[in-house]
Amino acid sequence: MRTTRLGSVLGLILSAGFIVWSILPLVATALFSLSTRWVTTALPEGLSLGSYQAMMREALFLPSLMRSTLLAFGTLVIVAVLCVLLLTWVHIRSPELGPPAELISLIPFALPWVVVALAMVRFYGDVYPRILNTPLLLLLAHGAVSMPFMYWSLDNNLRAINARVLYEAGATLGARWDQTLRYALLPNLGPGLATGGMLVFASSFGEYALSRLLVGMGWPTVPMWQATLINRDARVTSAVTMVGMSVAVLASLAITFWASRLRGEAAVDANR
Amino acid sequence: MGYIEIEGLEKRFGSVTAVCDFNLEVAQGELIALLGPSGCGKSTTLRMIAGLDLPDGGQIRLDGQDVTCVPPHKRRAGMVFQEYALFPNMTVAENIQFGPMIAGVPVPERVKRMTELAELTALQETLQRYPHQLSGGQRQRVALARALATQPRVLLLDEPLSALDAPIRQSLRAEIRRIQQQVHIATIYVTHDQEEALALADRVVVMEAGRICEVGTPVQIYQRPRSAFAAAFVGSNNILEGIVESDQPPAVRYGELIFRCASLNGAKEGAQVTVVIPAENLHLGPQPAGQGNVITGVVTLKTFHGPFTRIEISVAGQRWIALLSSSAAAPCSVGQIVSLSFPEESCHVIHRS
Repeated sequence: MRTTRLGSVLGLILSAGFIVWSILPLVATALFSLSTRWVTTALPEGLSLGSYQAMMREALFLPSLMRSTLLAFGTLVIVAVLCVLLLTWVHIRSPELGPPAELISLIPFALPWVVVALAMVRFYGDVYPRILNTPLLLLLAHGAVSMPFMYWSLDNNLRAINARVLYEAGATLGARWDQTLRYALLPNLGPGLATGGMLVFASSFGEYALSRLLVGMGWPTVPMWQATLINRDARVTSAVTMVGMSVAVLASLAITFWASRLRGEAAVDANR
Repeated sequence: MGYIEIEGLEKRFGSVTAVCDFNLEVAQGELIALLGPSGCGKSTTLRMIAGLDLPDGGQIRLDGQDVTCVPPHKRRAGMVFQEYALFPNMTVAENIQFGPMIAGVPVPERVKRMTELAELTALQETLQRYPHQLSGGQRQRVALARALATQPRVLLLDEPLSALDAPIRQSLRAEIRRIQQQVHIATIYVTHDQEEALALADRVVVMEAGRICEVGTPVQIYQRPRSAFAAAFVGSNNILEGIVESDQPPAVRYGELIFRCASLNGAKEGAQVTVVIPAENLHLGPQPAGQGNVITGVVTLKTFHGPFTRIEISVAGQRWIALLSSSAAAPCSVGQIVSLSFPEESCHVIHRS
């Protein structure tokens, strides 16, 4: 009995510690972005929306926010389409391609992104120089480095639903592969798409190194603009961080909502 | 000519031959059970009939049409999988309607077909539920209704009951047979459970190492197997390898023992034969009127199975099995010396070539 109670208390402490550890930096950033002065006291001496107003007046605020959102959304679409097609093919038709695909998907984790950026500049410089310094190259780079997030989420999802057997069931019921994918597989990939989608969107939205090296200030995204701001006004930088995070959270909620609706849409289509 | 005709079917996976020289004809409305141990090629055969695996040789014809290379979605072969394979995002009603929906069947006709099948499979109460809200037995009934909704030319069942509990398995087994007879569809049923195969099938195909070992009615396979493998796989048999001692009267020598048999099935004196003696034909004590064969041994194991008791007896160092009614076996105990007898008719002789 005593052991059980001790376990519960320990669990509570660990959970509380984890929450504080995760939330505290965020709360501190939010407070700092709202503070008028915060130097020697434990909490800000005064609060105002001045930093946010200053942020809105910045010429690069909206364009960079639009660029980052578009870039993250584009990356998400490319990665989701590629991973869904690749993984359904691997699970359904060629399971022997699974191990090499898994190995390839680990490369972005193993290589520093700076190396990836330099390799891409070198490669495309030789093969297709017109793409250098363009947002398209950045989009492709983001797609390449954030693919593992989607790959592993979808891979687990496809395993959990036993995709191969569902595909075979669809085939024996007269469905072509694309029909089985549309009605029976895709609607069940909601959890994988939601988890992977959130990670891909967030990682692309907040990515700095690749953007700096591949397009520079010719196409500034939020993190790049933030880097220039930090020496001018740290409070405005914090305000940008909070806005960026809010966009990522809203996008994640939208992705989760869309993924949860996949099932319903397929069922409605099937009833037509 | 059969409704399903399979000729010289072959399938290899690398250097392993999974199915070899498989020939079978199935009549319309007939239920065939493919029976054999794991890895004998029965599921591979079924998958080739469904079109999910392409054969390396041979031909499959459905209703006279060569479908060997026809893709599965154009084959009209309904299949029920061991893992149910229900679409988790669809309700029972949507699962059943999936095939007709894909085929472009108009909604009223689809709904009518679904209602009929739900009635046939006793699923009326579950139509709006999702697969995860159903029991294993209900899920498999949905899978069956879904397969039948496409009005397939052939129904294929791949160990459909193996994931279920014993009582549900028994009741669903009877239900599958009833539905199959009602729909009157050529059916191939894969199982490794001999009881299931014998109870369900019109004919049983016993498979061993990718080949057909024997085809026959359940009674033939059980009572008069033509191969030692079928005798060993089906039923609880004592299988003895002996030599024909004399043709008249028919008798077989097994070590120091000599058995009188009703028939030698054409084996001549000196021929090497396998004698199959069903365990349930052994009785405690002598046969009535002193007829038949008698063996004496020591009881080494006794296991209670409700209505019957299985006892193992060591006879001259060899293990014999007897299935006795539990009341008859009651006096037996491990270590006791007992005499068991069996009639001449229960000795089934298989000629070893």
